[in-house]
Amino acid sequence: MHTAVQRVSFRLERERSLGLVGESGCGKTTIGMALMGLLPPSAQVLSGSVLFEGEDLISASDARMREIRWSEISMIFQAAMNALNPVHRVQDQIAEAIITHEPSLSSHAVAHRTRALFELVKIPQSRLKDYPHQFSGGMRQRVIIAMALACNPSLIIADEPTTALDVIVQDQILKSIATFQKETKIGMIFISHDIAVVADVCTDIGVMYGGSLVELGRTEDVFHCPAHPYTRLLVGSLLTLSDEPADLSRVSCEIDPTATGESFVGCPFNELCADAFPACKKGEAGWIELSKSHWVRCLLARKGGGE
Amino acid sequence: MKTAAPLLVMSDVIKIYRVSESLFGKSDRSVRALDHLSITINAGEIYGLVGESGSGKTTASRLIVGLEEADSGHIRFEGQDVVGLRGKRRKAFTKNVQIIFQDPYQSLNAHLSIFETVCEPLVIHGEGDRQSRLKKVCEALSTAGLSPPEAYLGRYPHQLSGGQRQRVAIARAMVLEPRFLIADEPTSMLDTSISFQIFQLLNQLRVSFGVTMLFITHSLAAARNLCDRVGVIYRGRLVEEGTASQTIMEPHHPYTKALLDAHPHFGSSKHRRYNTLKMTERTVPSADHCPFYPRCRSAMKNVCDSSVPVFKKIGDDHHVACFLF
Repeated sequence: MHTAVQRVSFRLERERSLGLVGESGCGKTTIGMALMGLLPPSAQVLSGSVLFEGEDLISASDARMREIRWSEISMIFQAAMNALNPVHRVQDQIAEAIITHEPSLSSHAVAHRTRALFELVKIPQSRLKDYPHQFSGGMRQRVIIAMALACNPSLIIADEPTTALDVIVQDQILKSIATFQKETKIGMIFISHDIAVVADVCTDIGVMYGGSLVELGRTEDVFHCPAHPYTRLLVGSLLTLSDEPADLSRVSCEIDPTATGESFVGCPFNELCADAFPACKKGEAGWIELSKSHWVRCLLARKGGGE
Repeated sequence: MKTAAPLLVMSDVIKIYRVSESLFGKSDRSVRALDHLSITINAGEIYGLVGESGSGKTTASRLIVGLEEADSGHIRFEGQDVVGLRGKRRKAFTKNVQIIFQDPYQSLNAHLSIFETVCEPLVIHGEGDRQSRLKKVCEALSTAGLSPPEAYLGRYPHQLSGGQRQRVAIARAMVLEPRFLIADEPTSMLDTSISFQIFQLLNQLRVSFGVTMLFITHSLAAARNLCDRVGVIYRGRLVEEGTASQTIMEPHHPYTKALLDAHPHFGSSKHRRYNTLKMTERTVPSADHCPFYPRCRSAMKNVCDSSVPVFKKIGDDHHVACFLF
């Protein structure tokens, strides 16, 4: 048995967006899938609870989850090429999602909503009847976004929605995600390995390492005053467009994201952390409040300030 | 950098791909992947080629190493035309020019151990004997940051992480001690912190071995931090070229500015937006036109839609192909 995720707690308010960042294999997607109730049969939620508008999703029945999925919580998947059915027109695929969850809706109303969704994601109406292969990668990702919004959910989980896309297209998709999130006032969990992208889109950031959440807070706080050594490493390895090129000769440590063992004791980052002291191997750091909107799980923060 | 002799020169290279429209037979439709591309890379420098996917970056690298042939134009390495090289000369050329591919999950043979992978180029070029090969492989692995090298020799690609695989690919490229290295988006499949380490490694190779490099990327930030000179390519044409700081800190071409706009900017406070990208694309005129005309906000009627801009010098080493300048 392998523990993919543990010690993850966060709360997300309506109208806010939380970005989960971390290396590949750190458990980001597992969290998204657990929230959707889509974990593979080999995976099990051993403990903890997920409260969505007060209702526990872990103990909810399959039938109830099926109701909630898409109409309350929907997801934008990573590979837009694979998430659409190649033999159906995109308009029919979006309509299918609406009809499945709201069977009482007239076909006229369904068509109306599909058009409105296309407008929201800025795809011309003339392309409603096209097939997925006629769209570019960015357009397909927009269709996926439209589909995720089809049933007016109150929470959207976006799992690396721009990873396979080009810089300019990525920027456009991120803008359109940020816009609909503000306009429709829904909550969003945005999963990405790129902290710069998350900082651009989300109001809050949660940093994950080795299956645990290690830092959480408002984007400004986490990005500008990273407190956890791993967050500092992440922010430090961002290449920026500054006047002076970064010093590429400075030493950095080797990250092994698969290093999460069995249920470990101590801090998951202690082996790689330059400032680790013996207590890091034994003690589990609890959440330390650095400010009203910034928390970190690191024994160093308790020792003497976050910076 | 200016006094250095050119190591690689591409002049007026054109590459056309014919597209088959239907399942059967070929149509006349064709795509110009490279359109009069001219690039000069000087010995000892890292040249960054930046552009979006489909702009022809990878095609350029494939033409240089001879995986494909250009339809017209010249590619010269150390003054010698590389097109049509055969026999001994071709072998000498491939020894000096190595390539690192984008995806380390696909570029390594799953059936070969790390030793076999890195040793293969030595075997092909008939370098050394068993003993000296083992020594060279170990050296290459340590150079690429895999230490102790002995621990990796017997392993297979599936036992390594993405970053480690890319290091193996780098070791394989470096084992022949090439003079010229092409790195084709070497970090696009890797996590941020791992990418940073790969950039460090490439920089290290230049410092310690004096390798000249063509670094292909879609990230201006990567180019800014690693490269000496940067060329921006759009639809197979070079639209702007200059030192990394000229091209990125004082961009001129609207497309370079659009790329800069698209870069996540949360970290940098001094960020300014150029807004050069048109939201809805113009229809493409039938006549010759600037490749960026359909998407350019500041395109001029009867100028940009009727002829192709030439490469103009606008400063020391700084060139741009745009009618606005």
